[in-house]
This record gives sequence, structure tokens and C-alpha cells, in this order.
Amino acid sequence: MKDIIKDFLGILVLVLLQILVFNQITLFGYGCVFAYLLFIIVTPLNIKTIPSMLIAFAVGLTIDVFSQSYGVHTFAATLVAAIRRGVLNLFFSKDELEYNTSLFVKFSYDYYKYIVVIVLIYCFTVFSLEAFSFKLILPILQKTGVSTLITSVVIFFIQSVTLKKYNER
Amino acid sequence: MKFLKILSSLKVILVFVLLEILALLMFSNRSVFQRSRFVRFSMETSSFLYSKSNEITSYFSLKSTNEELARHNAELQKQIELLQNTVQRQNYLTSLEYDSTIAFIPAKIVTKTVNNIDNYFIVNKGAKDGVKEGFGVVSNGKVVGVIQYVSDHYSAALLIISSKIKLSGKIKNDGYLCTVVRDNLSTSKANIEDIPYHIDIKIGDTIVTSGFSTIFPENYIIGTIAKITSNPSTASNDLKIDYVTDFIRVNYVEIIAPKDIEEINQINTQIIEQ
Repeated sequence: MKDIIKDFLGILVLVLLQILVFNQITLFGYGCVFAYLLFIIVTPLNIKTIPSMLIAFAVGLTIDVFSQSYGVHTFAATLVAAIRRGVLNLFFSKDELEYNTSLFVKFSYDYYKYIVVIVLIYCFTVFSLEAFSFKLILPILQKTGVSTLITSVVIFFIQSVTLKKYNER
Repeated sequence: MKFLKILSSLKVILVFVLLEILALLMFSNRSVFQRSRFVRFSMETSSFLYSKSNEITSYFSLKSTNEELARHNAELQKQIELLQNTVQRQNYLTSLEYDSTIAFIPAKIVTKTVNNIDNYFIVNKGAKDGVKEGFGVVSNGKVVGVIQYVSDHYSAALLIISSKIKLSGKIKNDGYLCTVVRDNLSTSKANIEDIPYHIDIKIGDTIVTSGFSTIFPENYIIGTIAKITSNPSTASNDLKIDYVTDFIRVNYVEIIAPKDIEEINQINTQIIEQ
């Protein structure tokens, strides 16, 4: 019960950060920061796909309501939550996934790759849905590239700050 | 056992498809959504949240805001001087009549997006302050956006850096009319196509509003020419312009409320009917 409240508060803080801080930031003219994705990345492994999709849907919807982007973030967040298990299987062995409820006690090279792939898929989905035209493929790719880079860096940063605390405990 | 496993993965796919269809429905019906009560409600609540956070963050930008206001003040002083001269020289009555066709509603931006294909911002003036859909928004004589949706105390506007907006502009020195469309890639650039070779243009020239729409009056600055590319197939020049408005920094705006908009529209429809 205590953990659920803690997780809920964590998501709330991320959403507020996203709405109030990161939504107002644009880097190099077309780079967006989707730091709230962190909640999908660190969802505990013992949570099944359906509940995590439902949570992602709800959080995506909240972000959509506050940034006047109807359904775009909802779609992308749900998609990422659905394929997360598959992406994890790409980078980690079955044993690692089986015995850790949380992979994220220490950083590894594989973990970085996992984050970048998740963020990349998310950004590409958001920008192509938003543009909704093949003519704009070049700007979509450019925006995806820059945003993936920035978002990943921000997520690494938040993770390293929170993980330090976690390890000290 | 295996059957159960397949069943459970089917369930996952089913829920996934259902959720994605919901999201896509929302996306494809966004124009309907934007007019619905749900969105008005969400706009009011999110605006409230943003204006609260703005109360805190606006202190950080006080310095630059002050500078902006001081600059604006100086410009106004200059204009006052100019106007006083004009008033003395010209017929007092006609100049008064000209000014009275437009009213300005000062407003503050509560929240905005600048990095999407279509960018919105919300201002703290709404229907109760006389704002209506289709009004233009300017800041210090530069174009900023167009009001799209109005609720009681707030209204949402499209920034001119949106793919939906095509501005009717003209080249200031020459008076040649053109259409300004935002650049797909950069949020600080726009494109103008098909300027004939005989029109004399150079880099740095100013593009202003033409005044031929009821949204913006004449001579509000849109941007300056940044690049001229010759297009032999149409025997004309294509221009790339830099917007002069700093969309990220702009905080205080004026909403243009044309007083006789109904009358103008009435005449327009009469012309079309004939």
C-alpha cells in the first residue's frame, strides 16, 4: 500500500514537472523534452502489461489535456508501455528479468540502450502522428533525433540523481 | 496450459488495440473536441494551474520584462511625438475617426507551446472581456497570433508559427502583396513564394501585414527577409524570412478588437451575393 502511494506521488511529480517545466522548453528550435517517460521506463517488472498500458494511457491523456495535443501523447505512451517488455527482452537475459523486480539498481550499458530505444520510439510516434503526412518525413526525423538525444540525457540525469539516493539507503 | 497462455496474450493485444483506437478517435476528432465542454473545462483548469505557476515564475523574468516595457515605452513616446505632429498638420477629425475603428484589449499569456506543428497559447482575457474568435493578437506592433477558442475568462489562440495559419502580408518598401507560410522545419522562419523578378527586394527588408483581412490592421511587422532563392521554373524569387517576434519571450500582448467587424462582414457578404 505504501509503495503504491509512493509510486503514485512519483508519477504526479513527473507529470507536474513535464507540464510546468519541460513543456515550456524548446532547444535548438525543435527539440522537445519528454521527461515524464521515465515513469514507463522504471515501471517495476512485476507489473503486467495490461495495467501498465492503462496507467500509461491515463498519464498520456493528462499530458494531452494540458498541452492541447489531442490523443497524440496518449497514443504514444500506450504504445511504448505495450512494447516495453519486448524491448527489455532485446537487451537483458531471461534470468536478469526473472530475478530482479527492479533492474535499475545500477547502471549498465544495456540499460542506456534500453532507455534510448524507448525514447526514440516514443518521439518518432509523437512527431509523425502530430504531422500526419509523409511529406514532412525529414522534419519529423530531425525533430525525433534532437528530441531523443535531449530527452535521454534528461532522463539519465534524473535517474542518476534518484539512484544515488537509492543506493545510499 | 499453452491455450491459456495464448488467451492471455490475446487479452493484452485486445486491450492494446482498444486503447489505441480510443487515442486515435480523440486525435481524429480533435476539431470537435476543441469546441466541446470538456475542453473548455480542461482549458479553465489548466489555465488556472498555469497562471498560479506563472505568478511565481514571472518574478524570474521581471528584469527582461522591465527592459521590454521600457523599450516599448520609448517607442510609444516617439510615436506620440510623431502623432502630435500629424494631428497638427492634418485634419483632426479624420485621424480620430481612423483610430476609433480598432480597440485594444491588453492581456497576459498564461501558457504557450512553441515546438509543435500547430502552436497554441492561452491568454487571461475571455468572452467577458469582449474577446471573440478570429481576433488578432499583437505585441509591440508585431503579429503574434489569432484567437481560436474563447471561454469565459480565458481564450486560446494559434501562434502565427502554425501550419494552419497563412498571413496576408506585403513587402513594406514596395507594397507587393504576398502570403506568409511558416517553415516546416524551424519555428523561427517562414516562407514566401513567387515574388516576381522585377520586384526590388534585398536581405533585411521588412514584411508587414497587408491589412486586407479583418484580423490584423495594416503595417504590423511579421518578419525580415533572411534569404532569397531564385526559382527559374516559375521565373520568380522564393523568400525565407525570420519572424521578428520572439515567441518564447513574449508575455504581454494586445488583442485587436475591430469595432465594426459585423458591418464589414455584412458588406462582404453583400458583395459576394451580387
